[in-house]
Amino acid sequence: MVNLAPRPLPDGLSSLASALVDGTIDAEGLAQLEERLRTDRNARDAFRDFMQMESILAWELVNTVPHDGRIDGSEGAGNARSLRTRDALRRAASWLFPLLAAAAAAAVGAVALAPVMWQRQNVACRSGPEHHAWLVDATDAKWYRGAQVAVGDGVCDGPLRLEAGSAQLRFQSGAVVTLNAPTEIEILGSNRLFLRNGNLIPFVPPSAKGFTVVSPTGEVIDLGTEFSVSVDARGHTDVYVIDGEVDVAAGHADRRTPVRMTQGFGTRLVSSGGDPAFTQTPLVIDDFDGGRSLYWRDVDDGRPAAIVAGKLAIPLECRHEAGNDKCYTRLVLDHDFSSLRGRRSAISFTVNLPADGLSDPTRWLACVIDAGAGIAPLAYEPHAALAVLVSPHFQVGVRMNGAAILDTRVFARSEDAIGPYKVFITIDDTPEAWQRHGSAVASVAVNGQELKGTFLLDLADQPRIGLQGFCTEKKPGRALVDDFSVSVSTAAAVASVHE
Amino acid sequence: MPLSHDEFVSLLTASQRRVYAFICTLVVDRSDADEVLQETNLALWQQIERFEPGTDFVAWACRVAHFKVMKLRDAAKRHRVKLDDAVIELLATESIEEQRADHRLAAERYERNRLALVACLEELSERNRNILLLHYQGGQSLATIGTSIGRTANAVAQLFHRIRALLRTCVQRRLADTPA
Repeated sequence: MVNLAPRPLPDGLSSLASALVDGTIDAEGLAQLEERLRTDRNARDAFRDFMQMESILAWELVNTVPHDGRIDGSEGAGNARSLRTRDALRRAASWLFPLLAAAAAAAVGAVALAPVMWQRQNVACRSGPEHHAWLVDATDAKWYRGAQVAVGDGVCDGPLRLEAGSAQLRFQSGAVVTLNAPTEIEILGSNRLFLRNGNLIPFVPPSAKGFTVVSPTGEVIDLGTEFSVSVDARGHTDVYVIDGEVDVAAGHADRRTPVRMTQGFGTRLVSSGGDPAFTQTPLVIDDFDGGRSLYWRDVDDGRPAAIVAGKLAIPLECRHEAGNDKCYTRLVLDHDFSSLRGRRSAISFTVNLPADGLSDPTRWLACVIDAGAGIAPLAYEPHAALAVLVSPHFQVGVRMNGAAILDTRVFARSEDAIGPYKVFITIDDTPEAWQRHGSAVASVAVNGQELKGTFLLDLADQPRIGLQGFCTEKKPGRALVDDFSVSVSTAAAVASVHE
Repeated sequence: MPLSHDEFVSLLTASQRRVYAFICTLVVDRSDADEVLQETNLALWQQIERFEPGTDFVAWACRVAHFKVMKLRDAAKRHRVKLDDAVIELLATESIEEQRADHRLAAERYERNRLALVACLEELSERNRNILLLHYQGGQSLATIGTSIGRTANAVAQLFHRIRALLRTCVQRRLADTPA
C-alpha cells in the first residue's frame, strides 16, 4: 500500500515554509530554508507536498462565492452558507477561451471543453422563490452545454455562463443587464449579481438604484446610470461609467470606503485590499446644459445644429423635393485629440432619433473619428477612419474607412427604434494592442450590447471627432444628442498595461 | 500524427491543476503562478505539434512551465521568485521525474489530496474559513486582514500557520482512513 498523504515537513521547516508563502520570511529564514532544500531530498519532497496543498487552496478558494457574512459569522443572513467550491477548471477555461478564439478551430475546442467546466448550472427556472431575473432579449446566445432558454423565461439564482453572443436580463428591481460573451455570472438576488469574469453593462433605472455588481475584488454600486464592468482571469475588475454615477469599493463584507465616479471616469480594482485608482479620466465632457459646453464647429452652412432644451439638436432633414440628393450637417469637436495616441480611450453619448422615417435607410446620425486629412469626411468617405451610425431604419452600423462593416440589430430599450441609443466606443492604441493586433483597435457597444468583431483602426496622429446628421429624403426631424464625453486612460494605467 | 485540437484541449484542461501546483512550488507567489500558467498554456498551444502522443502530457507541460519560470526570473524587473536557481532546479527535476516514473500514482496522489483538502475545508470553523477566503480569494494581505479582525499582521501569520497545520493533519487523517 502506498501512502498518498502529504509527506511531513522536518522540524522547523513548516513555519519557514508558511512564512515563505505569506511573504513574512526574513533573509536569515530564507537562507536556512534554502540550505535544507538544497541538501535534503526528504525536505524537498515534503516542501513539494506543502506547496501542492497551497496551490489546491488557492485554486479551490478563488472559485468560491465571496461570502457576505462577517468574519466571525455573528450576523447577517448570508453567514449560514457553507463553503461552496466549484469546479476550478473554469478558471483554466477563462484563459482557454481567448486562446482558443485566436485559432480557427476554436469552436471545436470549446465543445470539447464544455462538459468538464461547469458542474452546476441553472438556466431556465420557471417557478420557485429563487427566481429574480428574466431573459428579455438575446442575440446569437449560446449557453453552457447548449442549454435552451427562451426570451421571457425566468432565470434561476445561481451560476450562469454565456458562451457566445449576447443576452439581456431584466432583474426584479428593474435593472437591465446586458451580458457580452464569454461571461460567467451568478445571480445573487433581485438587485445583485456576482461577475466572475467577462463583461457586462447594466442599465439601472431609478427604481433599481443600488444595483450592485460584486466582483472577485470588490463591489460596484449603481446610483441610477449605465456602466461597463469587466473581470479578467485574475479577478482584476475594470469599471467604466458611461452615464450617471456609480460607487466603487474594494472588498466585500469588509469593504472599504466607496469612491464615487461619474461619466467618463474609469477605475481598476486589482485586489480587495487597496483603494481603486482611476485608470480613466474625462478629456472632454458636455451635457449641453450650458455649464461646460464644448466648442462644436459647424462645418456646413444652411442646416445649423443648435442647443435645444439641454440637448444638442442635429438636423436630419432635407428641404428640397427630389430624392437622391444628400443633406447633411457636420459638427467637429474643436479639441486637440492627439492624447488619444498610445492610450485607451472611450467616447460615449446618448442620442434620440425622430420617429418619422423608419423606412429610410439613408437617414442617420453618425459619430465619426477621422484620419485628420482635410475637411471632416462624411461617414462613407475613405478618410472616416471609424464611423458609428444609428438610424431608425437599421438601428446601428459601423463603417471603417468609409466601407460598411456590419449592420446589426441592437437591443432597443424603448418599444420603437428611435432610441434612446447609448453609444460607447472604445479605442485602444496602447503598445499591448499593437502587439496583439498590429494596430490600434476599436470596439463599439450600443445600449450595452457589444458589436461583434474587433475593428482595426487607422488612428491619425491628430484624430478628429465629429458628429453628423445625414438624410436624402424630405422629412423634418432632428437627432437629439446628450451627455457627450471623451475620456482617456491615465499615464499610470497605460504603464501598468505593459509592465 | 499531431494532436487534434479536441485532444489537445482535453489534455490541457485535465492537466491544469497539476501544472499549477508544479508552478506554485517553484515561484511561491500566487499571482506570479497565475501568470506563468497562462504563459505556459499559450506556449503549449503554440508548440502543439512538438508533443509526441503517447508520452506524458503533464510532464511535457511541467517542462515548458519550468522554462517559463526561469524566464520570469530572468526578466529585468522581476525579483519576486524567491527561491534560488539551484533549489528551483532540484524541485523541478524531481517533480518531473516523479511524474515520469508513475504518472498514474502522481495523478492519484494529487486527486486524493485535493478531495481530502476540500472536505477538510468544510470542517474548519466558519471564522477560519472566512479568513482563508479573504486571503486566497480576495487577495487581502495579512496586514489588511489583521486590521479587520483587530490583530497584528504577525498574529495573522501565526493564525495562517495554525490553520494550515489543522488542514494538513485533517488531510493526513482522511487519507489514512481510506485505502490507497
